[in-house]
Order: sequence, then structure tokens, then C-alpha cells
Amino acid sequence: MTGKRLVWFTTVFSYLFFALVCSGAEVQLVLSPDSTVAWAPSLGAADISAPGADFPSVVQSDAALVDLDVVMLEQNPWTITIQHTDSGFWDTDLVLSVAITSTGTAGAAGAFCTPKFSLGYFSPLTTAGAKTFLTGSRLWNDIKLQYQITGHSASKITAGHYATTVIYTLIN
Amino acid sequence: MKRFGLGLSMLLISVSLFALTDSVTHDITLNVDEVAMIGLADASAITLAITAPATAGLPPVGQTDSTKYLHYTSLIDMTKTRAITVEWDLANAPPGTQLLCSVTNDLGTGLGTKTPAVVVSNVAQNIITAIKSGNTGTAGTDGANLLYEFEVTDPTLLDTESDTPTTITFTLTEAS
Repeated sequence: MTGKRLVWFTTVFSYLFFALVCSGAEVQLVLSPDSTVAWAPSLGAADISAPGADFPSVVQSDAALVDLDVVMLEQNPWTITIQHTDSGFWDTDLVLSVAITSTGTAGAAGAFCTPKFSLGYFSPLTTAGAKTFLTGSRLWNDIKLQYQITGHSASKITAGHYATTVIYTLIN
Repeated sequence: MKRFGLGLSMLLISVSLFALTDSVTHDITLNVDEVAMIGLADASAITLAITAPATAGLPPVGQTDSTKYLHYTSLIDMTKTRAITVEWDLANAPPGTQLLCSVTNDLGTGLGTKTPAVVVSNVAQNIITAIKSGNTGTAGTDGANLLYEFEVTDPTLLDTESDTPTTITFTLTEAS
């Protein structure tokens, strides 16, 4: 076998090998049904305590608004990253943060889940890149997350609708 | 050996191509309603009188007051603006007098632009225009500092025996 044929053989074999191996694996990140409904907090006159006052500095979701389940049949560790998109409808003064409020429970023997931040700590998301929030392995259920928005001062934003999409990515 | 290295690198590339990933998304929308709130830091009544001049032969002098501050919060669509108007409940000023109203201080970003002093009447007139979104704060001296100037326009018409109570109304409204 010539050198050139060896290179092609190695390439084709490697693709076939990993295609076969991975076809038996399953990886899935699931938002519980309650979490699939958009979170849509509102701010209005009822949130202003008196003429001249500003909005409350923080808007938070329920502590367990987001419920994540991880299905990873592979033995390899996984990570969960989070970021949010900039679709042009999100004011740059608005800061969206996420806190892990519960690390959940194991779904299989030997599974583990380790948060990157202390429980309850709000870590700001960016649109520039994904941030790792959790590492773990195997199946894991009921990771609870909470959202927080800051930066919505009357002096910085106008009336309107500000939309973004949070992207959760599970990586083996 | 060189070709073996090339093959190995392609093998590693293949490994990365088969990394296992999955993603889910969650939509978030922050709804900010339009808000228009206005008030006085101190809404207690004030009295403005006509007093004797310092020097004989000069006309009587009206008093002024600059103790009042307007507080307001405005949230409005970015394409619109608001104004603050002033008016009172009298058909006419007391004979021989007029009341001027103005804002003395510069206002912060989004809080509008003061106008020259206006003669208060029962027709609403702007004292602050081009208000966008913002809030003045709620401390005693936050906001728009009001200046009332009670002036004598014709001393011969003054009625020294009468007091004229009135209510002055400030309105934060969408600009037309």
C-alpha cells in the first residue's frame, strides 16, 4: 500500500468507525414542559413607587423557572454552556443573568453534576460567547435555573418589547 | 513517517467531528409599558402677595417663590416625546397682575428642555418639552425647580382688599 492510499484508508476508516460508535450513543438536553413557555416579565406604572422614582433595579423569574434534564448515555463527562442571542431587539443596557438554584438529582449510578458557580449566584450571560455553567456525566435530572434582568432603568431604556433567546448547549 | 502523521491528524479531526452535542432554547421578552407619573415634592400651599416698593414712587412689587420641585417618571416609545404643561383654574388673573411660571434648572438626559417663562392662564402651556424616558428622582430637591413670579402689570387696577385662591395644575402629557 502506497503512502497516499494509507492516508485515504485511515481517513475513511476513522469516519466509519466513529459513525458506528456514535450511532449507539444518545445525548439529549431537555427543558421541562413548564420551561418551554417564554418568560415574559412586564414593567409598568405599578412598579413605580412614586413620581420621579425608577423601576426596581432587579427583575427575577421564579427560582425554579427552568428545569433541565440531561440524557447522556456516553460515559464521557459533559458540560452545559449558556448564552443568549442578539437579534436586535435586546437593549445593550439590559443584562440577563442566570443562577443555578438546584443541581438536581442523579438519573443513573455513577452520575455526577458540578455547578461552575455557587448556587444562587447570578452570572451574566453574553451574546459574544457561551459560558460553561455545569459539568457532569451520565443522566441527570431537574437542574433548576433562575433568570435575572438588570439595567432596565427609565433613564436607559424606552417603552417597548425587548426579546432574546437563551441557548443551552450540552457538549460531550 | 510524514504521511503517517498526516493520517493521524485527519483521524483526530474526525474525532472532533463526532463530538456529541444537543441544544435547547428558551425565549425571553421584557415588556416595558408606557408610564407617565408626575407629582410635587411638596404640595403645600404657597401665598404670593403684592408688597410695597423699597423706594417711594416705584410701583408695588409682587413676590416670587422657588421652593417647589416637580418629580416625574416617563417611559415612552422612542419615537415619541412628552411635555409638562401648566394652567390654573382662574378665568383671569387678579386685576393689574399676572403670574409667571418657569423652570430654573437644567434637566437630565431624557427629562426634557425647559421653556421660557409662561404667563399662567386657564389654557395649558408647556413649561418643559421634549421629554423622553427618564426619572427625576424623589428627593426633596430632585426634579424641575419651579419659579413663580407674581408681577404687577398695572398698579392702578390693584385691589388690595381681595385674596384670590387658585389651584395650579401640572400635566405630563404626550406631545402633540
